Amino acid sequence: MKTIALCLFVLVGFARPVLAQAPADKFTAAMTQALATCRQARTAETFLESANQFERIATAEPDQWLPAYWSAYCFLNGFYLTKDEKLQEMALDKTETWIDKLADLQPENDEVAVLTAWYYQARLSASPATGWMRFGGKITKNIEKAKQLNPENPRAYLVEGQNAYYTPTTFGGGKQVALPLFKTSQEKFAKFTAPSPLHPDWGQFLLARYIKSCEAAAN
Amino acid sequence: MRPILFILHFLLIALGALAQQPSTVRGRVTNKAGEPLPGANVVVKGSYDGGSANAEGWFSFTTTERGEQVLMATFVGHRPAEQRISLNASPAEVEFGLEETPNELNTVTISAGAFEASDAKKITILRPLDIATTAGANADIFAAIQTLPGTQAQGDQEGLFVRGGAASEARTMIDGTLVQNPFFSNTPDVPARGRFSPFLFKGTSFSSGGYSAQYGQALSSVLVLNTNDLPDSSQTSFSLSAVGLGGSRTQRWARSSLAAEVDYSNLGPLFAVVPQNIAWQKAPESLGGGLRFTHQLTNNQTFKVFSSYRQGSIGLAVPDLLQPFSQTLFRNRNRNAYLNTSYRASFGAAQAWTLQAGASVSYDRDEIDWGSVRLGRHEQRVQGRAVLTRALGEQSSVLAGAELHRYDFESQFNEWAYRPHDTYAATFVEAEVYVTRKLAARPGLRAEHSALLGRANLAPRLSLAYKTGPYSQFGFAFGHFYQNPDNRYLFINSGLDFEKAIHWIANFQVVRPKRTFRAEVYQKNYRQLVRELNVAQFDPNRYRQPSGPTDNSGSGYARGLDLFWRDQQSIKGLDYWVSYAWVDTRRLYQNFLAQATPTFIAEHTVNVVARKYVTSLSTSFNASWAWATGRPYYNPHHPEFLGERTPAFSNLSLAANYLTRLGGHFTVVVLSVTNVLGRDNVFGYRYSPDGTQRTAIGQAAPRFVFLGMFITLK
Repeated sequence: MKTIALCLFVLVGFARPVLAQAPADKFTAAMTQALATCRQARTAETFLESANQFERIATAEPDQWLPAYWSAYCFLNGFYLTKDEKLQEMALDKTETWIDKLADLQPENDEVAVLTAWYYQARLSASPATGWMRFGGKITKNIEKAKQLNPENPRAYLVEGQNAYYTPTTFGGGKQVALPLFKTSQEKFAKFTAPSPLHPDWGQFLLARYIKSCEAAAN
Repeated sequence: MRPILFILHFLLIALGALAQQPSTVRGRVTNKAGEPLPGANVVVKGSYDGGSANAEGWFSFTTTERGEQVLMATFVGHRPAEQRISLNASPAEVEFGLEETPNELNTVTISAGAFEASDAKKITILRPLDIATTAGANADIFAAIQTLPGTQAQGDQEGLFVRGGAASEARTMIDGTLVQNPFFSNTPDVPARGRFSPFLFKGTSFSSGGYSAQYGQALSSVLVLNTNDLPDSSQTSFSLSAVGLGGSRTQRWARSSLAAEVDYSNLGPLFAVVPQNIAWQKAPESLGGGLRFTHQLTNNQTFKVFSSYRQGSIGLAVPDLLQPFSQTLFRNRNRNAYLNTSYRASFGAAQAWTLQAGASVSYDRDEIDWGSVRLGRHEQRVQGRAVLTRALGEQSSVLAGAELHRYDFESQFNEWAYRPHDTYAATFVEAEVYVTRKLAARPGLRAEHSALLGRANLAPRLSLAYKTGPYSQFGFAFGHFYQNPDNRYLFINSGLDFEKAIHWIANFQVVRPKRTFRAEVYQKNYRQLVRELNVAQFDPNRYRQPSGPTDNSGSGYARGLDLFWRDQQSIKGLDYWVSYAWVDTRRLYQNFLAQATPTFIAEHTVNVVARKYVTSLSTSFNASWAWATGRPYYNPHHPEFLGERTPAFSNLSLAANYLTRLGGHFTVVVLSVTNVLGRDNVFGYRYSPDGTQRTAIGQAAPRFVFLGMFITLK
């Protein structure tokens, strides 16, 4: 009897971790782990690895928008961090795939609109000569859409500020135009809490750098 | 008992640990050529487990999945590959060789005879913006096209003169249907501009020969313009220039857009300041506008309406029709309307079917006073067209289509009037076949019938392309092309046959992202050209109405070489292209006395177009230089018919576009000067009836200056 009890104890003890991995939790666990890796990423290589990791989750969970979102986000970061033109092109094409998928999954999502605007900024920077005519309208349209859907989204103002930051002063851009937008973003960040640990929350690190650069130029 | 339990306990734990022990999968992802694909994604299908290939293509990851599984590798531009693997305690080793999907680098494109300006492709010879910003072209599509090899700019008349062909041999299409009058009305000795702004089109495809069976009624060339899709957002813009003002409003809704524009121009004030060679009695003045509507019914269905209307007037001194060596007053009042509706839908499994249907109306009326003579000219073309395309496999496709035109034209000379009309029907089939990714063929067949001529024709076309490297390819094109004779011959003889041209083209091109080289040779034979019989004396007047007997006994040929080089890389920030064309052409047609080179031909033509954007000045500087050897002209005393040549032609044009903000609104200020050096180019001579005196046919003005401002309101 005692033996059986002990066996049961051992078996239950062994079985617990297996039972704990119900499908929904498996997703959360995988996303949590992937996000932790993504937050450590500092190079193109590590971002692209994270992008692939999110892509694997997104492929297995075609109805979830968050893995698609984070995959696009990581590919975009990979694009900005590499100088290899082939890799840049690959990263942009991948971002496009997931942005298109997100447009189907979440057509009225402010975070998706922000990311879409940022994606077109990357396209513009990849072809500066003809980029403004082709992507300029798409960038502003998506920023406006994001702000309309959620005026409290700090990333909408961050990307809008970025847009102004990289637009020459003669076209109505420049650091002085960008700074108030970054400041607005900062205020919104102070009040912002992501709906869940898996939702988009990035931007503060980037924002601090932009504000520093704008303020340095002002002094 | 206890020790057994104890052992059992540990055994179970060990077993559990074994079950939990992740198994390792490693291997390599390459393409079919064995080159690594860094960043390729490898996944155990249905799970989250997987890894990325490193710079050498190697990957390694661990997974808790067990048993028979499918491993999938994916990479941009390649077909995903799958392999069955068995996951157990020992590491699995897998190698993937991914196959590339067709793309611009690994797949040939049919290119003989065609120059395409588009934003849709990553690597292309031209972008739509290049057409809008060519110096000297002043945002005229046709003037920009004239800087490409195979065309010859004319200083005294408008039109695309392509590879030995006259302007009437080139046709313009908008969204598939023919535009009857793409230029402003002809004025003697003054080239007219194109009617349509380059900013209205997302794609421009200029064919200098060997074009698709989808188009007809052009012996030399077609210019295919495709209108813009839905704009990104609503906007309002204004323009103000030395020659007029205009405004436009674009409204964008979720699935549709409406754009309205109106403009007024008057060259009078400019001509008062900039010296003119022409005695203007009434400087060109025009009022026009357009409405464009786009509705995207679904992602795969688009409906478009494109319309424009314009009226204008002009008056100047020109050679007298009745007394060839004196001048008289020429006045023209023109009204022009154009309406085009088109519908495009793709449907069926994998959207393999595409239907493109359209209907259009072109209307044009000139009321001319030429001295004491009253001339009227009226043209109207109503047409419908439908093309059905079926995609076959990844690349190939077949299409079939038909078009029907009703063409009314009228010419009045004082109290006499001719009012013929034609019903023209055509049907065509064409296949685009990719034998391999390196070899493509486009055979086509077009059948046409003209009720006015009472005749039909059958025109075979063929285009081939063979890829020799990632950027280079050979092309070949052949075709028969038919066109109705010029209206002035149809007025007097409806028994004429179609005129005919046969094209043979071979080309080689290297199109890299920032450098393009292209060479093309061609042979073009003209058959069945209209000839006036019993011509005793040659009359060089382009505007005369022939009255004698005619037949289709004329013929001719054109052969030549076209070279094009574009470089956006060698000098930082500078983008330039050079085109060179050599043509050898002679023909016996119209009222020619012998086979000769027509007056619109220059044997050698060179064009250099350059642009540079200077960031610190927010200004784009554009320059273009055109040079051509002299053209034949008729000297009644010269023993050889059309045996004399004018001096060489040269024109340097400069333009600057300054980008700025005006009250917070995006603004472009444009300054352009055509023929900066003020060179006095001569396009021919007119002789007095007794041949003792002559006058030069020159430019309308030593220089043309344009200053304008374009404002877009946010």
